[in-house]
Amino acid sequence: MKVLLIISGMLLLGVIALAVHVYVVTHGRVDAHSRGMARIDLHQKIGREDADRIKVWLSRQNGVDHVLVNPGTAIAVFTYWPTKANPGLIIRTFRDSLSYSRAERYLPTAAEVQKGCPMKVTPVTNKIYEFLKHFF
Amino acid sequence: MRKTALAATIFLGGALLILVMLVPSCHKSNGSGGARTFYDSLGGTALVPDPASYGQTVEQGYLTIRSIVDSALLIIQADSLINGYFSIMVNEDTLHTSPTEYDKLSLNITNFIAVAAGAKDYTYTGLDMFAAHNPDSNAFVQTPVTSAAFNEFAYDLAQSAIQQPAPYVLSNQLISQLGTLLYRYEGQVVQP
Repeated sequence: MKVLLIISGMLLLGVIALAVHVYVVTHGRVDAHSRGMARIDLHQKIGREDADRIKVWLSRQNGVDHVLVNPGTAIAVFTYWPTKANPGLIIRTFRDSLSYSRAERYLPTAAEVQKGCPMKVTPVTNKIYEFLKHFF
Repeated sequence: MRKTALAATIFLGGALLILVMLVPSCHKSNGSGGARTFYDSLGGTALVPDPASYGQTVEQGYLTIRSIVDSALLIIQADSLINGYFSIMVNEDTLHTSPTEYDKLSLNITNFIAVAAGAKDYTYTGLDMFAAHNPDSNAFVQTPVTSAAFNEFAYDLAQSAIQQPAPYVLSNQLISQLGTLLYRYEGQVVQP
């Protein structure tokens, strides 16, 4: 009887731990300190004046943190707080407001993401640490 | 006999207590160790308000490195020579969870450089540079990092360091030291 009770208790603990894990994994939300990054490929030649104009325009958008425009590659990049800004909307408004009709938001394909920087891969200890961070 | 044992216990306990109290105070006054490290030159362990977290403090050395890394990630994403390695940062699917991929990459690279520079109060918990860039130990490595890509990464990081506004302005000597630190790992990152 005692053994059965212990086994049941352990099973119950396992189920609770699994439920907590599933909840944490599926309910991740951005917090006030989280920042995202978005990229606009302009697909046309731009000069320094264009770069400055784009930088000023993007910097004025609500929730945008930092902006960088590289005239050499015709790419604009900005970081933003996901709780305040919608990058898709910002980029659509950008295309409509300024004369860069070929501009489009760059979103990588699954294959491109797979080739990404390996520093994002961390060992098991780090995964445990990140999991525990949700509670403390 | 009992009294002697009690006196010895009290004496040993007192000695241990004094030892425990002394060790951390020595560590604190010493900052990041005996010799002056690159981390010390970047501001070291002096606590300053963290501009990213209201009411929190952060070590000046760490803040300087984080500022350089965060700006560098923007430069890198706009650099068509190497932005392919970092496309995960602009992947929309990863932006709805906390921390975002941008946050994670910023944290990992900052922690790695901070520890390599001599920080004692931060840890880098990711894979070591050889394992992280080796297809045998990391299934995510499909495209080996070329020497040219590594050079471009170092160049972008240096550009970021050069462009840092006050109070993070770095002297040429410190920027050179940052380059030296990065190239210590070139052999581990660039693999045949």
